[in-house]
Amino acid sequence: MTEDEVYRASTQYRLWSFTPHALASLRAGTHALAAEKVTAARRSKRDVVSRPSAEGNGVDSNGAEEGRDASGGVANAADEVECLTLAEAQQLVDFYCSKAIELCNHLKWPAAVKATALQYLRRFYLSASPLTYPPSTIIKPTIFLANKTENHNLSLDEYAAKAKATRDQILAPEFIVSQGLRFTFDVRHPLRGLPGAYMELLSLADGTAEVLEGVGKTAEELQEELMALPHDTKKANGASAAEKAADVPSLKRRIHTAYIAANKALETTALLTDVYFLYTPSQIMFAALLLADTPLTTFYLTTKLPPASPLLPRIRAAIESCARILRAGPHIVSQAEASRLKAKLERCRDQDKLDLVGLDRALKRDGREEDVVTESVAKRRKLEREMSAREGEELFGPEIGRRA
Amino acid sequence: MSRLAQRSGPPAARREGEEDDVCPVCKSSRYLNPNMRFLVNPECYHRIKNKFRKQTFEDIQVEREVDIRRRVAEVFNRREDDFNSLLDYNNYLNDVEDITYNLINKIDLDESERKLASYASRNQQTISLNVQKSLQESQNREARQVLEKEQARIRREAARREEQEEKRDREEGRRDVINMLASSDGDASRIAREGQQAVLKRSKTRQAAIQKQQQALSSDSSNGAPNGGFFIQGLKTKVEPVDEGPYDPFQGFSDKRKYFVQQNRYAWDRLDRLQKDTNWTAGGYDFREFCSRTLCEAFSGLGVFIGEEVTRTDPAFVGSVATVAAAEAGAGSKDIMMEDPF
Repeated sequence: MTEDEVYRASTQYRLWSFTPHALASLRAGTHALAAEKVTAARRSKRDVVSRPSAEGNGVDSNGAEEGRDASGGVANAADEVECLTLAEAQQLVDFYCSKAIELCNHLKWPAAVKATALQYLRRFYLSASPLTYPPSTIIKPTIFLANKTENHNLSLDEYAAKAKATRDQILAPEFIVSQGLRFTFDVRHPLRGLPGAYMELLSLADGTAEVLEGVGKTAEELQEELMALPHDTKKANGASAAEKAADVPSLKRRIHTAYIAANKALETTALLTDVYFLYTPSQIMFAALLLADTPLTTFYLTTKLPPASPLLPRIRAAIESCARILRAGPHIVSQAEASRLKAKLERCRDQDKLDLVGLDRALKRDGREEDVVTESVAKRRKLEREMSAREGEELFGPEIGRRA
Repeated sequence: MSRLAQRSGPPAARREGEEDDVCPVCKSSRYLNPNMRFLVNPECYHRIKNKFRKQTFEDIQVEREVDIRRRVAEVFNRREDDFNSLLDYNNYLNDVEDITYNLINKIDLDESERKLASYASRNQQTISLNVQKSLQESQNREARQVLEKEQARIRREAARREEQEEKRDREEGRRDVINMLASSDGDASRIAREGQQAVLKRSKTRQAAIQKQQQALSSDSSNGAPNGGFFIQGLKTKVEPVDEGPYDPFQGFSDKRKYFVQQNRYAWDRLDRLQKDTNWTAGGYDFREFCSRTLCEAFSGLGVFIGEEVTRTDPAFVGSVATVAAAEAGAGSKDIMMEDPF
């Protein structure tokens, strides 16, 4: 199995890879459906409310609330359809993604957990809309889910205390999120491969690398070429652009700098953009390296494939287009803008999904409180217990005397 | 000539009218020399000349026919289970019989000989295989016969022994009774009855033991005997298994990588440091595992172009999204009860 076949076998390739167009249409479809539902619900509610008020009775507590809502909304009929737009919804998701990064950094979690959590969030919001499930209620459970799937194993209570949430708030949306993730919890991160590229580059610099067949150069030749590489001229670092890496230690320093820069890009920028959906982990990793040190990465790529390989220009094109996305970076809205979006979201939320905790409880335990047993249930249990005790006694039949 | 014949073996059993046999060369006859043997040349079926063989049949034509049949049967030794159906086998036998008949009656002699020779040369392997098979069968048959004889002998001996023992028991019982009668002053008829019972008991136990032995013997024979004389009809022609080449336990799976060759050591000081750290190495952690994984991750999907390969709209995904959305859109929907996406 070559590396490409390994990747083609993954769920990330099979379920979570899209062309840009497919990705956009998927998001648009999800948003349209959610918005339609919210609008329809509001319209039907207005109909229901307006009719009893015309008759002048039938105002229960619920109706009163809705009536207030409706009376406020009569004036602005246009407000009825003023949902978050698709772009705004996406901005809100991106904003909460950056918040999730902050939370993970605050918890001092490994990058793998952070990256997985972020990817879960982005994957979840492909098939779910913030209108239905507001990101504020979803990020903490999702991060906890990633904590579990990445084997980080912080306990629920500790996490709840640190994340300032209740146990139920963290656990209730977990199944919904899992379903949105289509129960595929494996995420292939470019972060994991970066040390591999780093140590190969170091070995190349050392002249001890084992060269692939078909490249047609010895390790020493490659080392010399690496030494002669020019510095990145695009970087506005005039001093280092002039000098050339003459010796192995400075070459290794250069590689290390590129590694650190690429790592940083993969831990932040790559997580906040759509590159995971559009490119393979290897291409993302190369793109991050390319941004960090273009000549070095271009050279490194030539050691991976024979010079005449038709694959080489295609790979280069993919990496460069990925690098463009990474260079542009995510567009995270300001805190003020986010507050405005949040307020707007509160007005157009899906009313059925306001109380996720309650919904979850209703489904899991028939709406009962945990550890609270009703009288009828207690009675039934007692009867069952007695019955089973009796059966246990009579396992080998009734007593001999009684039979006679 | 006749002397030469005499030397070649003991005299055969007498046939009727042997006295009339006269050697066509030396004109000597059995009348004068009853020990004289006539030998037959299997080439020309004159009873003289240089090559001799013992004559079995009176009629020299029969002798010749038997020889021809034997020669043909050595070549055409196909067995019934080589054929798909009985009809095929019978057709084959018919063809063989045609050749044999031609050879015996000297019809198209050259043609028949040619057929025989060409078949023999073309089917050497099958012929020798079938020869081996029949050899094996006759060996098995002989072995079975030997075994049966041996068992019969054992049975006979056991019967004889049993008879002797019974006799001895009866004698002993009689002696015991007489002794008892002599030594004790009990009831004579009772003592006699007891003595009889003792004899009866002993013979019973012996019979039980013999039965057991016989059972063991018979079960031995049913296991050990080869299943000769029992046919399975309609056997297919054996299809030689095609050569599958050397055995591949992984069925073509290879762990070869496309984009890297794993080295034993990488010039990464951090890795060197950790490899010397007992905290890591004590548990048996192999850093090559880390290297192989991180390198595989580094290049997994390098040559995969999502933009070109994932142009199809994944029906499974689109469908599931539709169900999710539908479940969400449906009024009063039970979201968690939405259909399983898979």
